[in-house]
Amino acid sequence: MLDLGASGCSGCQELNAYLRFEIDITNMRNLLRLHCAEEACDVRAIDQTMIPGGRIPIDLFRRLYGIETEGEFVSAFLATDIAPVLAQAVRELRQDPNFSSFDAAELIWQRWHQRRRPVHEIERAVTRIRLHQLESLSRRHPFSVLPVLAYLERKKYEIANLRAIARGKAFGLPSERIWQYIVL
Amino acid sequence: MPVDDIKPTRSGLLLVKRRMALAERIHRLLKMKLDGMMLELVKLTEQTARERRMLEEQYSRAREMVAVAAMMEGATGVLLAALSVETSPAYTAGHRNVFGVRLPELEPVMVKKTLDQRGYGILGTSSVIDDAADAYEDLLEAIIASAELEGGVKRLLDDIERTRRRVNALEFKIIPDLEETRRFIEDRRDEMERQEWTRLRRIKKIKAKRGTGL
Repeated sequence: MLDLGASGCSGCQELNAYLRFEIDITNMRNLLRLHCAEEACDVRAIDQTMIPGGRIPIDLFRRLYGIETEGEFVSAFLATDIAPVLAQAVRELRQDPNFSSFDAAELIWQRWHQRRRPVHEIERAVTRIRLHQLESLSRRHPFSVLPVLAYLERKKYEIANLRAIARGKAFGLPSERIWQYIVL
Repeated sequence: MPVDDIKPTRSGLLLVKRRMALAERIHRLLKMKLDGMMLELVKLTEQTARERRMLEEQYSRAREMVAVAAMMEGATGVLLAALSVETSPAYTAGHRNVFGVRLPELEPVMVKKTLDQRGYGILGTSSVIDDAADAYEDLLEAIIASAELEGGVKRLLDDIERTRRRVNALEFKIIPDLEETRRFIEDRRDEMERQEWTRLRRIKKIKAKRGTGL
């Protein structure tokens, strides 16, 4: 699909950029998942689980995985294009306009250092930002594949939300708990 | 020891005295062991109660996390992830010695796993599955820790009961019986001594009477 960018079709360049961005986010999420066990996973697991084709090279993920000092981690994380997206997601989630990319990098470092997974609300907020980006791209290129993709993505999350609500209620989970996992 | 079996002799008295000294020493040692075991039991019980509370918390957390995982991934998704685990968690059993009581010592083996050891694909699952797996691993560790402590408490209680029975038997049966036997022998020996003395005195009197008669 990444080769579509070279075909010159309408909106394909943007779709390509979006796909690369989605790959980066998935890779970063998986990196955090791999790191958060008590014992660190084998570094070979990174090569097996990272998806190639993103804007962030896999070498950077491999380097990030071995970093154990805050300064090094924060500077490496700020070099990725995930930091501003994460900052925007937390700004929207916490209604805090002063939350910067540096704060986002430090937030990730805290979780990374304690070997804890990212908070689900932040994961959802990042997904929300991603959907907004796709939506704005589809508006800019209305005669490309992007509106269809945006529609399908939105539909996917809509159905996932409905399923989550139904299953959550069936399992007797409190509404606040279900709310944490809903993408709106 | 029945009173009838004892001969009221000096050797019998020495035997009873020796047995009594031994019984008193054993009684003192067993009492000290009992006190030590009671202290250990109090310590272990508090720890067990704490572990049990933690286990209950872990259990409710694990139930909640698996409900969340099923909510997000569906029951099939959770089942598939669970079925892909290749290495079953286990434990090794050892023991430690506390006042001669063998308390169990259980060591978890392959309970806490890394993501690649769990076996399910990272790309096909989300972090809610990891959360549920983590919660169940923590629960399993808590179960093993709790089983170790509860097993220890049970064994210690059994041994305390047994030691208490021994202490009571020594205190209320064996030592009083030996005391009674000692008193019996001493009384009999005193009686025999008095009889002997009276006999000798009588003989002396008779001899003296015969002497004056001649």
